[in-house]
Amino acid sequence: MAVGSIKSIRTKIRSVNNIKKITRAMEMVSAAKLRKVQERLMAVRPYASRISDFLTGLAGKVKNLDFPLFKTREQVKRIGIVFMMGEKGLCGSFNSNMLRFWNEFGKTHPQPKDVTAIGKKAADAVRKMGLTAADAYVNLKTDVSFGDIQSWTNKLMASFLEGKVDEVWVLYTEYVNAVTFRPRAVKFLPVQTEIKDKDEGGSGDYEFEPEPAKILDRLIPRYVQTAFHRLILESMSSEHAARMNAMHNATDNAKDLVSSLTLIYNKARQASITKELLDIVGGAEALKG
Amino acid sequence: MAREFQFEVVTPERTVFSKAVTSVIMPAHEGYLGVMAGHAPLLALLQPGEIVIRGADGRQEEIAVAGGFADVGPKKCLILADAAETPDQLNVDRARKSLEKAKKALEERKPGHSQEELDAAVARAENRLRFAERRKK
Repeated sequence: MAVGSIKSIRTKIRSVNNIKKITRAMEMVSAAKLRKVQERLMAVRPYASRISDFLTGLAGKVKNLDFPLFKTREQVKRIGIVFMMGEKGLCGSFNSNMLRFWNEFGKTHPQPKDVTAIGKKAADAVRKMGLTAADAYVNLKTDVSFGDIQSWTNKLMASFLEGKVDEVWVLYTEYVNAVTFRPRAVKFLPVQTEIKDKDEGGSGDYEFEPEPAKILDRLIPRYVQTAFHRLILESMSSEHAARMNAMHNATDNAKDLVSSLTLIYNKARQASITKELLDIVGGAEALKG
Repeated sequence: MAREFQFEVVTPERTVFSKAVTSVIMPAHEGYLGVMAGHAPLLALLQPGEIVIRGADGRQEEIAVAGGFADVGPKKCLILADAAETPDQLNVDRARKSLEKAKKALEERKPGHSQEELDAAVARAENRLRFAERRKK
């Protein structure tokens, strides 16, 4: 083999090694981000579980539950959709799975939609489909503040209450564990709870200040915001975990590639040495003759 | 010695306080409310203000709270706060800045927010600033 090809193999090995370094670094970064988001998920959990306890306890106290956020509308003419995707690519099938899921969802829910995009990829996808997102929130950080999430949720609630949309669905990626994620759709509004006038709930002898209905007025929006917060964090977890896996695989592939390239390189080098030796020996023989 | 009970303050972002204490005073909807062990079960709305906590050793701690809900029971008291800060987490300059921001938003009638929300934001920011300034002295 020619000297030139030996050289080109060597360059290839070097560049694959560089790629390996980058993918490994990205894996580490995603792992760190995933940990951060997971910590936040853990921090939300006590609040979220208590607030839903509150809600079930209180709702049993109010005689005829008449909160517009709970009311299912008979005719669903227009639906609001929150479409959550990643901020960036290079995370395996995370974004493409969500996109496919979106198309399937569109088949079962043909109503006109108001879309709220969360994540840069979601905003891009919506634009590519020729739709205009009512709202798009991009450049989400791992420490996206609850205040931001509150104002997004308030907008969703407002458009539901004003009757612009009759249902709100959230399309997000459920985080099952570090290697399994599932695109999922949940009906977000009207609020789905199993409050079916059960009056036991342990809150039988509670006092209230002020009366339960007033507390509920404040509690329900907070409950909805918390639920939304959890969904966003879950989608983020999935994104980072997906990227971590994808980058881990890329690093492994790069390793394999380097070892097979090294083998070819060594073979080529050996062949050229042998060839040179043969040349020398051949030359010496010729001189002797 | 007064009896102790478990007291917790949690926000959507973290658990701010979780300890056994002997008494707590909190800013309830209709005025400050004192809680000791054995209190009758109560659900209360909180308004922006400060929580004063006393431990068994007589030490006093304060937390600024931006409103929320309190679940009081005989052995346990839980506060679900919209936001809460201990004195070491607050900074006068930052509190002042956030008050200015909230006031400006109120003047400009920032779109997407109701009058109530903007008023509440100013009240929260004022409370935080008051708390931070007092602690500094």
